[in-house]
Amino acid sequence: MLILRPRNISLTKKISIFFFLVLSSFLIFALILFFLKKNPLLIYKTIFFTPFYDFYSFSEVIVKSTPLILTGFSVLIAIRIGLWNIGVEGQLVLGAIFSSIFSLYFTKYFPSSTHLFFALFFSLVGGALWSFFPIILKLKWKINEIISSLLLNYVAIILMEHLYFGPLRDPMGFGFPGTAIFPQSVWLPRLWHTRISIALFIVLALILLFYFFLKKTPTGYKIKVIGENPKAAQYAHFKQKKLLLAMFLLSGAMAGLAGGEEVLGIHRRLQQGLAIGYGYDGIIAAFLAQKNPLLLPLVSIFLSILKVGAEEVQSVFHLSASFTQVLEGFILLAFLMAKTFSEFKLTRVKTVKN
Amino acid sequence: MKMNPLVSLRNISKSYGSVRANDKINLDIYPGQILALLGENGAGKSTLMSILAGKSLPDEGEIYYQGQRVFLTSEKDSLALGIGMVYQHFMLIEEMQVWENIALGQEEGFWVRKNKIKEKIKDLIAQYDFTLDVDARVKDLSMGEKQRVEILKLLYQDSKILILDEPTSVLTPQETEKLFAGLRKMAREGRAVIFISHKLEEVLEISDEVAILRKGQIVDRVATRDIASPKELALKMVGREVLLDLKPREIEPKEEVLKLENVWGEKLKNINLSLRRGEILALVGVAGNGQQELVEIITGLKRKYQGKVWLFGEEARLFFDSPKSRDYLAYIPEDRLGMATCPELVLTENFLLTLRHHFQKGPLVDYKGAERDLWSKIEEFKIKTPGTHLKARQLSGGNLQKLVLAREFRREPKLIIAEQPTQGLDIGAMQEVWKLLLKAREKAGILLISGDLGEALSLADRIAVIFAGEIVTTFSSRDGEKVAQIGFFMAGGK
Repeated sequence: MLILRPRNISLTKKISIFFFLVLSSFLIFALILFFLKKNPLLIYKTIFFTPFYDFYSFSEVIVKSTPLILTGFSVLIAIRIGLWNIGVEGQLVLGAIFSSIFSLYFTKYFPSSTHLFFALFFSLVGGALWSFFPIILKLKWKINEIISSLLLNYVAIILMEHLYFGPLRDPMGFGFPGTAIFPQSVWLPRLWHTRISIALFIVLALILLFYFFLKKTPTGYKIKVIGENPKAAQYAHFKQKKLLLAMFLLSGAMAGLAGGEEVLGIHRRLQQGLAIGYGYDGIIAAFLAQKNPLLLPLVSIFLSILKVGAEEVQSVFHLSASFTQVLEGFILLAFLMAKTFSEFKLTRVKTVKN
Repeated sequence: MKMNPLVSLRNISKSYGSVRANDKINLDIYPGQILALLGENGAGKSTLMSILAGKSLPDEGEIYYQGQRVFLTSEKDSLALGIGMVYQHFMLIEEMQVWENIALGQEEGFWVRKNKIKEKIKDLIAQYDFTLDVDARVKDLSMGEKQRVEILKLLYQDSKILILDEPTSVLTPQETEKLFAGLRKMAREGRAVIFISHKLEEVLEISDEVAILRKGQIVDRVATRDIASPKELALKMVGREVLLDLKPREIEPKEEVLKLENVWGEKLKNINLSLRRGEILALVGVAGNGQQELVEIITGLKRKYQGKVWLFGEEARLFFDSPKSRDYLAYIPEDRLGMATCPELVLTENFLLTLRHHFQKGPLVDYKGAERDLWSKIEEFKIKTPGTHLKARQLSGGNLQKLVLAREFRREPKLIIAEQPTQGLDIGAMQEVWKLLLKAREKAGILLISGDLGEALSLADRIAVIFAGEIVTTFSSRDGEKVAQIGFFMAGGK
């Protein structure tokens, strides 16, 4: 029988274990590609070189990583206080819906210089609203937030489809499922002739702010304690419910901002192709970042490289881009194994023979 | 009469981190014998037995069953050989009935033959003179009854070796008598019983043979009838003279800091209690008689109760909303790692848990200041740690407890609730904690909740006995007559 025994090893060894395991997951995946009669070397080359082919290609990696950083951030905020927000996808959708409705119908009531601010603000409100239901159910009736937040994702997506197929559909859109283009005053300014918008810097600033908030302030301290050990928080007479509520709403708001950023910065309308799994990828990103907000951008960029590379592979090799999800899964598994093996070693013991 | 041992342990070693819990232990277990494993907390008794029960694996060493080498990699392996253990923390399913718990995992065939199983259990109950209702739900049972369910679980599968880890710690003296009678019967039937304890008197009463463990080694093994002087045994167990007589001079109690008037709760019945600054009141009783609820009410963790609680002359509800509550009341919980600290946070952060308001710089937490303060406490309380950036779970039990005490005393409280403050500590750490509590008494009133009568008697000025949610009696610890009757009170006698 094989059992795990605790062990202590150096950091370099831990990191090498991780890279070894990631490498082996690439090897296993190569084997799969080989059986599909594709050349794994060529495919890997495409994945990892395309994003660095020129500046524009790399900028697309950044474009893809921006919502991912936000959804990862959203999951991470909830985790830090000991909650699981699996409803990021739905909150993202609600954020997009709210800012779309504002952009389409309410801009005329506000001076144009404030349009962008309010459009972003309503995306926060939308996301927070969608996270309000699971957390209030949890605090009032102890209903598991994992299930309720997850189920609300489907509600949000159907609501969005109803809106862009129905009441919000662009009358001049020739049947295209989507709303009309938003007025220019709510567009997120793009930089350097790429699709990178100023949202990226807003996101990075928010992450930095959150990092120092956790590290330095009394409330940040309380959040850490509640997340690590709710019983200790109770022992120290912390007012837990208020903080749980506030943090979950903040988590939802960040997810909503991801939706706002997508519609205001990329699509500039509400249309099909918004709910493509950023919410779920955020869980992976938060996990790989190990609860550390500062690592989130790096992790998100890495995952986005895979995504951008995969799109190229799809068009060149006619291999569905969703194969990156398999690869992502492999990498997550490698990471989990590396975590286990850096604390335990596998040893063989004999068993009773009766 | 020397027969062949049923099980032999050879050169068993087991380390946890840098602590050598078992160090090359040799032990033979004979059928028909009650063997007592005697040793201080942390001597390695439980570790050794959990190896025999298949719960943990030894780092080195061999185990022989009837002369054949065996590898016990899981509890299932051990049970298959007829080795079973009753742990201190019971492993029962609270929502299920007694008979279901006993039969769990031993179903023969596809169908559960309820009546047959129940008959077999009832026979066992009669055989060992246990009183137990097989249809009762486990959650409704007392601690003593739950223990009987655990023992019946092992007897039901006809275990040949029964290991009991500190079985008397949850029992009243009467229940203990009954248990001992049952154990003697089991030994007469040829079973081997291993009895883990740190209480000298009961070991002398029940065992045929005593093995003494100290610091992970077996220092002696003697037949119980050959023991001339129990004092010598104690010396072997502890390794040095124990200064049990640290009874301090009495100090004049000052103002009242805690008062309970007719408090009723889920378990509690009409509790009246008063505590003054400068005295230690020990609340003794068998675990599970309402102590926990009482502590939760006094420390403000439970707000639903009837009656009045006064803290420093103020009603509890008002007190907990006032800034005074930050420092006046300190609570040292039994669950150090689960409640008093966050295992994954570093020591400085844990130090801040109840001290935040002392370390604020404008709107921010003054971590640097807290760290400086912690360093001075590390020296003052002799906490053994390489630094302040260690995680709480990396500290040993004794050092963690000292950290908690350092933190709570730093607040200069006027009322201290100390719950099993020395449980699991070695004798050195235990004495240090006792000294700290006695010193704190000069400035505070202390409510000591303890399952250890020795501790209660050597520290307390007054003793209150709790049974079934009621305070049976309160008396001075100098009242020899009453002290002699504690066992009687703990069983509900008046």
